Amino acid sequence: MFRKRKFAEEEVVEETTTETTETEESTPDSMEQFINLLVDMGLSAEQAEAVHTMAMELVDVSGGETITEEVKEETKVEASRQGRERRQSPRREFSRRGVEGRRERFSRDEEPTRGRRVLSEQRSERTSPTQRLEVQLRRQRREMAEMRKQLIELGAQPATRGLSNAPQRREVSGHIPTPSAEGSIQDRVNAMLKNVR
Amino acid sequence: MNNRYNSLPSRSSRRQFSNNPQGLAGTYAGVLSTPFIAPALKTADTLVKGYVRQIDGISYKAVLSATSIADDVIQAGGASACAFSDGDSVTLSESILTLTDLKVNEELCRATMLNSWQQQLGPRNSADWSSPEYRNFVMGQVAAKTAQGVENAIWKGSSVFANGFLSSNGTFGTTGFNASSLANATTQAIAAMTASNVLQQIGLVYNKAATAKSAILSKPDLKFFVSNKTAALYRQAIATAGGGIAFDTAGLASGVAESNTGQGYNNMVTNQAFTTLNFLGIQIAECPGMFDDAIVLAQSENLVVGSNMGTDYTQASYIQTYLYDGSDNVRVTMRFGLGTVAGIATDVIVGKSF
Repeated sequence: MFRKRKFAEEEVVEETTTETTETEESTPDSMEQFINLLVDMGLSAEQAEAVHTMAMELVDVSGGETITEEVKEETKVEASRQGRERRQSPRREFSRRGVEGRRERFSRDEEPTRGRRVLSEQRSERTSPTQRLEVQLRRQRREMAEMRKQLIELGAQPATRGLSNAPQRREVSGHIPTPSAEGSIQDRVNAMLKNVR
Repeated sequence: MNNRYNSLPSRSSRRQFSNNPQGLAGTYAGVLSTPFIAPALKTADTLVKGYVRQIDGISYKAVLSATSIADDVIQAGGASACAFSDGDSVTLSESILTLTDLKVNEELCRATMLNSWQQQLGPRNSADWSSPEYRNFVMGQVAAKTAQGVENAIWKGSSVFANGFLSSNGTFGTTGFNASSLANATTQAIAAMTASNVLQQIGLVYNKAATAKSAILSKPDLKFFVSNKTAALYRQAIATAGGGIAFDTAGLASGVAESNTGQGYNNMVTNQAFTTLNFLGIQIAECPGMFDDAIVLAQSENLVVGSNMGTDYTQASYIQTYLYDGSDNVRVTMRFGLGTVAGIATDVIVGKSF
């Protein structure tokens, strides 16, 4: 039992570390970084700004929901932990007899509860609109970097592709069969339609 | 498990009713229509033999850029020419290929098609009206006729396709030619052709190229484009020609028919087959859609035929109207776009008889 609780405390410590790191990353010039990243990928400054504006709009429209869900999930996990410990406490009471043992038990149980309060306060601070946007931006930046790596690995670099001087001409999708030049037109047509199902 | 709940006895479900009417998925749009649109758009002689340049996937217009560089592109250099001096030798031009939307709407009676269909199947096969093979047969009949129409349209134009190479209205005259894709081509007057004078008429066009556009004569894809009739006259002429009588300087200058009876090409007179026709090293492309008394001398790259095949704008339908209106008919529809343009029209020599 003690081991399990200790494990739970370790998890909490890890989460706190991650959040601290994320807070350090959130600098006021995240917009400039984002734009610089897009410019590095080959976009012009104006295009990068336009992309950033679109991203911000997207975040405004749908960003908050994701965060809320995550917070809810975390709250659920904490609630289950609490429930688990509450369920365990009567057993402990029965297993160990004596008033002193009970006092020790209660004093131990209070410590993680305090830690959870601190954590929940931190999370409520994090869910302010500005921080939510920053978290969302960091996530998008990471995703873009990953996608960029994947594209480079595949040999496709869309930013380096030249603009078409005939935008109304589209890429021909699908295979266009090449007819044989032999025979009459009807023969060629029949040959092309022979295996069409 | 399905058989357990099937109301039909298992024996009857084993039988395959060949004429059992079933609905086929009949509408094919976008890339799915390609198998049915391609036979209609790609099997015309001029296209299938690669006589012209073909561009697919155009939704409405395509811009063809052309670069011409003047001979004076190289300038004097050295210490006295350190400054930049624009030679102004490179000229960019462009031509625009615009598609015309076209459609095919045909209603066919199955009874009319029965004999042809049975013969194609053979005696040991049942004629299943609702099979994909029958659908392909019907679509194929319409597609072949459409392909012939495409061949004529790209050269002659028509009332619905005012975009032919040589005419906009199906008639080889001043009005149609002036509104055609080759309206700005270099022209050469020729006479109505016969077996006696066909060599001279082709020679006149060649002579025009030599004097006015000699640069194109060294291009590997340069071709004479002629009709079936002109090609046939040319075969007759070379089969009976003899030793320089038919083609000489006097004939070129005057275009007057001369006596050309002789032993013919290879001294075999008419006892030979001409698989490919040439005139002084230039291939003669036989295009059934060409006007009879017309000769076009051009590079294949310079004559462009465009279509919207491969885009979302094509559609082919096979509609089994007999399923719901009591008739014995099926309907075939196709929708596609077609257009022609000359990359650099002035580099084309057109011999015309009007």
